[in-house]
Amino acid sequence: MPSEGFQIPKRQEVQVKSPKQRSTMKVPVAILRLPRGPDGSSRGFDPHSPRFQALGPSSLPSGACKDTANLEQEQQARVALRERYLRSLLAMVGQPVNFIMYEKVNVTALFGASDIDILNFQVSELQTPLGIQREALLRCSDIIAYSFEL
Amino acid sequence: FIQTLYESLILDSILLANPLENGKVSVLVVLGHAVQDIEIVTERDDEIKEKLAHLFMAGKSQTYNQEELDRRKNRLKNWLEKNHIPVREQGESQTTLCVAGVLTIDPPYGPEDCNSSNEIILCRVQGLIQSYLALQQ
Repeated sequence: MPSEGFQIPKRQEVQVKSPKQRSTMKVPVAILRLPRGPDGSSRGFDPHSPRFQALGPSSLPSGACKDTANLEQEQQARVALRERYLRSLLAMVGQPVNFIMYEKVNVTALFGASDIDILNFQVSELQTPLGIQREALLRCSDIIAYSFEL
Repeated sequence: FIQTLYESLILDSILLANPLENGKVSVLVVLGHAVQDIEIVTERDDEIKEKLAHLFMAGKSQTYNQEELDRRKNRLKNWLEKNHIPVREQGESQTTLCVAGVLTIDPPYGPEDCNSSNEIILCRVQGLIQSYLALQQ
């Protein structure tokens, strides 16, 4: 029977590992940032996180002086600008994009996606001087500017 | 060579749109950390401002009248309620649907009109709307 054939090597493997060995196993890579799930106030992220502190209400000039009328206006302006920027990223998906990076590096790739904080871009067919890289992640901090046609 | 200084936003990145001769638009984006100084050379007229506002809003060209939008809104609201999704109307003239207080759906109430800072909820609701639209066709 196929199920028995599968179970036998599994049993052997369990016998090899003693519980003591398992408890001393280390995490192979340090976890830099583990996002928390949505909380009760449902902002979707932790108010004490560096990201919230960088982008949250306290980062707005009008937020610091508790000017509620201005705060709302500024938030609205930010919403409009963020939406437009995110839509510009959407418009860029699948298009060839030219990236101007530091040290006079100038590469072309097909844009794929960006992470939520716009820290990394995922690209395909990255044309480097050493050849084409099928898939790659570009750190946004390494990019000075990028251009594409619409 | 850059004709229009366009917009800035999160991380203060600057988008520069430059119309090409073949009708396309070349867009250059300078990332916020690389921006040293901004100088507005001239303010553009309203026609160009309007054009820029719709630059990335492709596919939003279809227009609906008020009656049609109301009908779309109510049908979607019923569908979401049927799926046990808490939804209410908000905004100045109650045109925006708000799901569980964390996601908004603006007219014309398609999957692309959802806004949320929570990508998990956003993905679920967009999926729901897509299946709802597929069901209607």
